[in-house]
Amino acid sequence: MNHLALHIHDLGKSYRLTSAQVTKRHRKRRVLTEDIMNLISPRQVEDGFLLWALREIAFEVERGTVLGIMGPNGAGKSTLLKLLSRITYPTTGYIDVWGRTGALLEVGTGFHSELTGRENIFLSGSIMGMTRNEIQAKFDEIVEFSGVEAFLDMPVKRYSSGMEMRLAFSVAAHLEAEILFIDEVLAVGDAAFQQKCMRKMESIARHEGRTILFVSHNMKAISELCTQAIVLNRGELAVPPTSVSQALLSYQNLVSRTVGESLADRRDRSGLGAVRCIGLSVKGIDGGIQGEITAGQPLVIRVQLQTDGQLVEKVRVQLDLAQPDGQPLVSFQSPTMDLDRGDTGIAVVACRIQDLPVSPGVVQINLTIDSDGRLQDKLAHAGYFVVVDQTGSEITGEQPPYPTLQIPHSWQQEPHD
Amino acid sequence: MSMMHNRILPPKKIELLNLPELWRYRDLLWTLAQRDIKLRYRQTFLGVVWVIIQPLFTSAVFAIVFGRLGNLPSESVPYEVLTFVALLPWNLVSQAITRASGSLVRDMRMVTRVFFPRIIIPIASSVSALIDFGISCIVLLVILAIYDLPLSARALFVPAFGFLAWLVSLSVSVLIAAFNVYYRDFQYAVAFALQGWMYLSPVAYSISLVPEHWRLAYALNPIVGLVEAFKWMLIPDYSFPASALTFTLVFVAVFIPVSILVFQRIEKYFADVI
Repeated sequence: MNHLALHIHDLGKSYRLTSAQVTKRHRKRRVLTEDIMNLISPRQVEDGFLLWALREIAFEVERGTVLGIMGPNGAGKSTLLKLLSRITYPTTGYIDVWGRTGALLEVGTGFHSELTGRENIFLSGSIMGMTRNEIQAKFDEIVEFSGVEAFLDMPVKRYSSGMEMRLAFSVAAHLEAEILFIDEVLAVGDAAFQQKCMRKMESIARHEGRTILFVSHNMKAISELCTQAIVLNRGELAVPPTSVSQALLSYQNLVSRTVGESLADRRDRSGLGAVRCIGLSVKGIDGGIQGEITAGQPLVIRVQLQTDGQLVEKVRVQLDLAQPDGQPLVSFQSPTMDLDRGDTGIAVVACRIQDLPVSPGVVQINLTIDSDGRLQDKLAHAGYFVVVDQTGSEITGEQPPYPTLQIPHSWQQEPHD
Repeated sequence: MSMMHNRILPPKKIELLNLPELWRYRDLLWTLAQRDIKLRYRQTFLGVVWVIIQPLFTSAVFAIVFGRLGNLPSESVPYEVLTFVALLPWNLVSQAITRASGSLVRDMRMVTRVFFPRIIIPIASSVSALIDFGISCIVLLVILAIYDLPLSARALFVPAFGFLAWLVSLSVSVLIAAFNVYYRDFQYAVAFALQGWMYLSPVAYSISLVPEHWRLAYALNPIVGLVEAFKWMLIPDYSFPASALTFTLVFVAVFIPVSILVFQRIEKYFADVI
């Protein structure tokens, strides 16, 4: 068992809905004393008042693994991290942990604005479980990484928010722990500092024997950092630990199912709405799974459109393909056309792509529709698809870890003349 | 490489205090206590002077209202000296309770983001009351010198009884801090309860006002033993409150373990309900 860092057995966590969340009638019957008695000796609560955030989770993590945790909002990712880091406790099951753990669920935990940068380093460090001596030993490193040397003896309330974040991250990044739990803390600071954080996380991850569990929505970060990944959905383990590309693919399928169903209902869109996208599918022309494309093979992206009139003139559909973090890859724009929605009430516009030279990874589709020059519908993250290598689904070492355009090219050394 | 093994289980009925773990987090206790002390007087003009002014003002008010106007007895010393001595343990207890009872809610963000033994928070936030107590003791030395009153060797017991007072506060405040996580009402109730508690204790008046046959019931209040012990140490020819002090010790011996057990019992739900 010594090669394991974590062993999770049948883990479940339920929350009791509080009095405010149950019916008013029920609330009236509850009294303070009853509640206090409940705290001291909780009785079995009726199942109807329980909300299961996680259910029957079981998996193992070997030492040295960097495990990405993916899943839609409300899948139980954060609850899992909170259970692992002992902030909250399981309702059923148990977790075996080998090694000292540390959690970075938030940047700047315990920071106090009235205290100076120096004082906050010690405060935040000891809250995260470092001893005074450990902090002292790493103090210079922390300060140097943060780049706020000049302001160390100034109260943090006088810092810019960027400075405060940088200092907070530096403390967290120097935490000595064999197992680290990280929840999207990378989403701080400006782009340059994010890059710096990312590199720091990579060096932490490569540190021998260090195990990391990393929750993120950022698929690029997951694919850059992680060696394995799991997918959670509605409190259940949808995909047990597997290769990152495999997990990304499953996650994408999950997302496209849930997103696909509700594209018509999405509110985070702009435009006049005379034409709206209600569905989007991506498929290889030679068949295969919806949402999975083999690099270099033809594919078709179908957009389902709903119009409020019989005929809408001069409609133009634009598909912007991007990396998961939004970096643009390539755009496709249709000619203007008059839509006929026919008997079904829905028009379908298909874009056939002969060869999409993109390296393996998850590609995001952003969609824009206009008619006669006026914006009708604009949807970010309208869909995702996964590009896999011709040979298989594994991302090989020479590939960039994120999807990018692949132009035929070669490298060689040449003599200097 | 020796790997620390830990099993995370659902909360049990009885959770004992994990002393090795508490010991590992001792630096956090001290750092948090330091934070509270630093924060208390940062950006105040008079700073630590406030610690001196508060008890002086209170004992002056008691001396005027009860001593001059009410003409109540004050043993062998001036009324303001008697009440200042009584305020030493009382302020320690009441301020430690006040600061600790809201502490978990104040540090809610820590509770929901990081693991550490939760009991450290109420304990650490009551430490600053000990500092105030120490400062007040020095003020008392000055007062005794001004009134030309002798200081006996009994005063050497002051740190020990100060510690006992702190334990009395903890046996109450650890529980209130925990319940306050569920119902903020406790925090507000504490202010009223402390006021009532003070008048049930011989702080603003001499214990000689309490009828002889009521004394035993009166001493069920653990503060009585404490306050009388301080008077015994610092006021000449004062008798030792043996029975009242025995009860204070029994109170601490019973309620410290009970409070800790109840705290341990419910702390694992803090992050879920706070």
